[in-house]
Amino acid sequence: MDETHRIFQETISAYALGALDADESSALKIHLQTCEACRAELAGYQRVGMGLLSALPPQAPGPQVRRALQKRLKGSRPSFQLSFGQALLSGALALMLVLNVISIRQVDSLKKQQAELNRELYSGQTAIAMLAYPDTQSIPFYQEGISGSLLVDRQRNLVAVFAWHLPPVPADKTYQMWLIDSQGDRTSGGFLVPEMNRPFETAVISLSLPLTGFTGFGITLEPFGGSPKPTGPRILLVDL
Amino acid sequence: MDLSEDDLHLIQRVAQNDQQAFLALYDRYAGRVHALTLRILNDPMMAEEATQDTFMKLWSRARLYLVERGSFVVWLLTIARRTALDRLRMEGRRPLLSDSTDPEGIWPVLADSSRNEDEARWRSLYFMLHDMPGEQRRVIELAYYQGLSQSEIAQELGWPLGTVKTRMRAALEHLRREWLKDECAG
Ligand SMILES: [Zn+2]
Repeated sequence: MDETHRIFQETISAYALGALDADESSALKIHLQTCEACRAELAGYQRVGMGLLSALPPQAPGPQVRRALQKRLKGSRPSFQLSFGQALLSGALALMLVLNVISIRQVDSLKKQQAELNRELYSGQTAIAMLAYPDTQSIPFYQEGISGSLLVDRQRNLVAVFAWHLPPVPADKTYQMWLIDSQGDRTSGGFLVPEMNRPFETAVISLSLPLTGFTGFGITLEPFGGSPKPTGPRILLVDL
Repeated sequence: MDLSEDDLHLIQRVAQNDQQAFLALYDRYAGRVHALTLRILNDPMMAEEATQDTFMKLWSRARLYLVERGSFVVWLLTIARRTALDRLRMEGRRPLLSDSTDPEGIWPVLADSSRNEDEARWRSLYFMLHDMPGEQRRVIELAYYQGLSQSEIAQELGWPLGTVKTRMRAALEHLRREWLKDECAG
């Protein structure tokens, strides 16, 4: 073991610089998972790598680069892509603005819808980013007609929820998400708000507590406004 | 070296599509990004294009940064390095062998504009790299600024692979020892 460790140790510096050939690199990655000493050494070399990024004397680009960026920005707002459905919804909102004689009240509610739309886009983006992340664990579920996945990132304490075919909620109720610890205690993970005319829901839970303390995820139906602890019928229960 | 509050505030605004905040970050970091893309591509026009592309990525990925955090400069420069290396591969250009610029000739001019002690830290790493034996410096530069693997470096320089490995390890050990020693000393 010590001999193996020594052989791997010699490759850490090159690995930190991204210069190891592919086969050596994947072998080292596996060793790093179990060897704390090598991980500590890697951290030091990574600092050197970060330093090398910044070590060059700054050199300003020509002023035309800034101008070109300004130009490109004008044509690129917003910075994220709307899905077809979301674009339709935005378009519909805009149309309502034009067609209606709008009271202040209506404007307020439109603003809320827009804010809700933005929140959703953000959830969607974070979830997609998590999918692309190598450390993200995907937990599929299928229970009583509801299917979907949890994407779990234990390093960043993030959970993204995708749930298909949730039954519609009565106006005085809401779906509330829970994280369950090993003692069975529930911590609220916020609400899942079903959107009309869409077969799936998505939400991102960002925890201030370490996710490693939780062993389960659940959804219950609660009175509108939510509950401090679950009181209503259980909709979903998934082991983490 | 960590993110200043000020930067964080600007990035949050960029994530909400605030162009003024974006330009403020550009003015602050364009010099660093451009120095890196220029070092990698060694062609003023391509370097400026890569600089532009890097900042467009900052514009579209600011939200992702807010999820991950960490040092903003490192995040931005990592994007810049990747962008420039991709371009280099795309062009199929042969790597640049070594930087012949005299470091003393560049830094003193910039010393006035240095805003914090990070500048001094990075500067010391730059000098350390320059003071290294040429064959050690070359492997570091080819790996980091040209994106070559050890076997590609061996091929490029016509050295045995074992030699490349030994020199790279010695060079990095030296940098780590000397540079992080400085860091501990404050
Ligand atoms: Zn080890």
